[in-house]
Amino acid sequence: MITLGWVRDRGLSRGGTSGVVIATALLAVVGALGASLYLVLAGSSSYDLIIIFGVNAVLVVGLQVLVGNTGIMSFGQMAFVSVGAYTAGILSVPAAQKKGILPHLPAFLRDHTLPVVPTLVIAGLAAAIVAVIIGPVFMRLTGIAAGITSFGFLVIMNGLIRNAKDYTRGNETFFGVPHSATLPVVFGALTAVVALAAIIKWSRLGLRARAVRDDPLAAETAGISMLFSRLWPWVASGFISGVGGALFAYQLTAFSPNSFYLAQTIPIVVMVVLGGANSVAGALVGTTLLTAWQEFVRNLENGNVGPLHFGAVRGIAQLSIGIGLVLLLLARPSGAIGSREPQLSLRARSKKVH
Amino acid sequence: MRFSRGTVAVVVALSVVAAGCGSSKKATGGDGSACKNGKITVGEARAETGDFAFFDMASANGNQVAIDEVNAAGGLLGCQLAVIHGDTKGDPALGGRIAEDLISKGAQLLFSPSDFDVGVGAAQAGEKAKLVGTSEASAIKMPDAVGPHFFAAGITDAGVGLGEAAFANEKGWKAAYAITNEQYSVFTNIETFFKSKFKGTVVARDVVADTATDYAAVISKIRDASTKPDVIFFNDYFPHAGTFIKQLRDAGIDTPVLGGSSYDSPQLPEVVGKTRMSQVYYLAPEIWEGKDADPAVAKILAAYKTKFGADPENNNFMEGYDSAKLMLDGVKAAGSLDADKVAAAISAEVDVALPGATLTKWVDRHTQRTLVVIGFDAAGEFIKVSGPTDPEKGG
Amino acid sequence: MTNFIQHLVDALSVGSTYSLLALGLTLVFGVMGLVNFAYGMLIVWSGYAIGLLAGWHVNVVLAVVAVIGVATFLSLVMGEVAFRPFRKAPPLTLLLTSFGVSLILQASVRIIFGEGFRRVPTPSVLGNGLHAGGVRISVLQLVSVGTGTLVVLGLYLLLQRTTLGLQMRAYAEDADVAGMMGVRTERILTAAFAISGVIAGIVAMIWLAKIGTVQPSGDLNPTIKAFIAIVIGGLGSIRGAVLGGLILGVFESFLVAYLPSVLLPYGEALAFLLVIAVLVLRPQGVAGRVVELSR
Repeated sequence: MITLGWVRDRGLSRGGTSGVVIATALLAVVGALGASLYLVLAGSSSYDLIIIFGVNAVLVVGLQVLVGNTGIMSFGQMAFVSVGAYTAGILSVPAAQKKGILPHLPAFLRDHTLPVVPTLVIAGLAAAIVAVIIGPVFMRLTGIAAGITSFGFLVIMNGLIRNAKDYTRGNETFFGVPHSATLPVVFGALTAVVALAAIIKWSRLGLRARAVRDDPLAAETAGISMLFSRLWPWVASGFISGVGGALFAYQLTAFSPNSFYLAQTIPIVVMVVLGGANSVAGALVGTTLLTAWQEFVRNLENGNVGPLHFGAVRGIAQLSIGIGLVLLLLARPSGAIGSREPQLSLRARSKKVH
Repeated sequence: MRFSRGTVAVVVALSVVAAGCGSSKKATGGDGSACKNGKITVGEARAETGDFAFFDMASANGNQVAIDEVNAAGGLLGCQLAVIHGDTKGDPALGGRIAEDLISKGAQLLFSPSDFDVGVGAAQAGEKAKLVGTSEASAIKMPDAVGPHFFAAGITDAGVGLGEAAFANEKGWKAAYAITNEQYSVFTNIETFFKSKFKGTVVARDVVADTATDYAAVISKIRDASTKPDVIFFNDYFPHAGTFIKQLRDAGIDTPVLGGSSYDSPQLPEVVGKTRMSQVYYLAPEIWEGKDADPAVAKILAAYKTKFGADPENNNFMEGYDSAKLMLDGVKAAGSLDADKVAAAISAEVDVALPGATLTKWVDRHTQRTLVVIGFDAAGEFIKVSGPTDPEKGG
Repeated sequence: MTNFIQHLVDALSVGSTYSLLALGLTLVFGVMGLVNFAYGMLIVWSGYAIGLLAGWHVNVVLAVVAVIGVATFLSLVMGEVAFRPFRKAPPLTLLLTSFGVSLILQASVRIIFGEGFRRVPTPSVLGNGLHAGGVRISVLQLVSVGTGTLVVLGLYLLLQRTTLGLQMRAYAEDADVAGMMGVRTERILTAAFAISGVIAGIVAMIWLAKIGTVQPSGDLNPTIKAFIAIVIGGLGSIRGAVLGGLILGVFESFLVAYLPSVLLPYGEALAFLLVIAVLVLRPQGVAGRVVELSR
């Protein structure tokens, strides 16, 4: 008998792995199906909304892997995203156009173009390598110091991208990326990264990281290396964000260093905490909540609610998001679903947690 | 001063009403397919909120003034023009969606945000739907990135940079101290064009952050520069320009300052201090402030004030007016809304008289046009120093 | 040498402003562990207040008092209405709440005053300069350093020599024990937000006098500077905030002054590299102790 229940991330044996993987992956598939349905019902702008939702969800899951497993909040995710986006851009601009857009590219990059899936993987790996390089520095810090350091990482990466003109066009808009952010690509990638996040979460590595998160002293006494245990979620977070960056590039098709800065960081942070920073499913819930909300108030601001049209005041969208955020956190301080994960169980009833 | 949000709503409502009134008219000039439900719908995908709104709303309102003129003169291809709006919030990703939204609501022509980075999403959505689009974005490379039906119809980075160089040469300035905000490519591009034609030497170069608020360190460097500069080429936008010049003059340095059209704001002399403006110059599409305002521009300014109840925030309203006029002239000349025909007609425009300016020609779907140099008298009032001239004409 | 002294003067003036910004932020952190992202909005609101007061031709002294009043009032409202209910919440939730509060304050500016830049009028005397041996100091720079010193001194006296200060320090050390010892804990929060507001009002006038304009999104820059300063200095510590602000100011100014021109485009990145280096070497900050209000 199959039952659906909730599990929290504490004190769970690794036996839950398969169920969680199935459940979280299912969630992504359900999302995609729902999206397709919406697509049938609505116009092309709604299609874009669904794509943007999918891309954002990947970025949010990327951050959640870090926050959920280590308790460290990063304001530097856009650095990974930019690495992924530029990597994908360099690899996927059609070779004919590349000579005009990036004339100084080394020949092997200039003359070749890769298809979507390898590009996504390479973009993720590129960001993961960056994470490996800076991880030992970053993972020593916690709390606000980590927050500022991660933001510093973003500023530094932004500076590097602005000045690597041969590869990135510097501060000029990078364009010519094919619009490959289709429904199957985005939601395929989302399903994969959700599964990856769930696997990491319930793996030995994830359990160790969360042990350090909850009680660093006790964990170290038990022989768990703090630095090492945090490094893996950080690298995974880099990888997923890099994949998200590639999707971002496929969706925008033209972008500049300004597309990867603080303004794009804040919504991702809000989505993670809104849904429940300790839960992968929470990342999806948070993304859904904020996206839907923004969309609703945006229509409100433009004076459309269903068939109603009226002149509205600019700024009410932002105001409502601010008020809503405070109220929601007041009602649920650890996010909409807290640290819960949906769990499918094939045999007995799963442990229910209210 | 600014226009109120209420006015925008009223304007939108009025234009919808106006559109409805024209419903019985038939297309006369073209192939008859231009009007949909008796009107031609123009989409305005603009940053109505966020920092970029400062520039973009002026552009959009300038578009509206041009559109109102066309409507008052009987419309286009026998149809009245109706404008629909969407707020991109300055976000390129949202821009694409907003543009698609507007297109699905019937937009047949599209205006996108007046910057390459900010506007490219909306512009591409327009191109994808095979709509003719313009933007006041100043990057000459933007049309290439968007596609064959998109036009950069404002002033360009090339025009501004070359115009600045020409003016510096005319002034006989030999030593320039260049300071650039590298956050936006438009400023690095302008600097490149400036250097390409400046006959003096750039004695020192500095970079300022977009977040800079205290320029004391740069100013002390200027004071200590081994070669005393004849001009400080400060390549940034208002309000940074105001803050920098204020601090520069506070520090007792009265070297001339030269900049581009994004200096423009009626508030600039007040921020710096009205009596300290006499050595400040910038390139602009037209002059609209002060006693030298071109009469044709003054007419548009008056229409703007009547419509929006306040002065424009900056000269982007004139670029917006020009860009709409160039686009609508193209439609008229093509006699239809067929994107290929209209694009060909726009590209063929030469020596078009614009209020206080002239479009020399189109080069790769960006303008080559005249600019003016704006300066200030002893009382801090805006004056026209030279122009209008086309800095790209005849080398 | 004169060059160096000039750059040092510039750097100290920038740094003293950062120190002031950091002080207002660190106080609230000290008592409730909140890094208040909405802090910069107090400065933005003060800017619009200055604009209005100047428009009504209010006397300068009265205007200064009124601006401080506005910032203090807003800070109190923020603290009592938005943050008090979150007293026991985890730090991430607190931070996110302050995002929410800053959105509310920013949206209200947009709705009331509109988008775009507004001039902030300042007395022209601030632009005058004093010369001493080839070094130039503007009145505004003097005011900035002088005010910074006075505020630090005042705060020190308040925390060390008054009962309220003693209670605040006790509360920051251990809220529960302080409560048991008879400290009326609910007053401590109010006091912290009030003082934070007063400081925000003061620093707003200096900050905006330098810039000359204000816009709805003008909060981000001062907030981030204050964040960095308190992290460099050591969270929750007064001495840390002062030191952190000065260090950041000197970093930034000296980078602009002495960086070779090929490295100029990396200026912001290098400033952060230095910040990160400090944090890695001393994760607890320069003034380096655990979270504490004073010492």
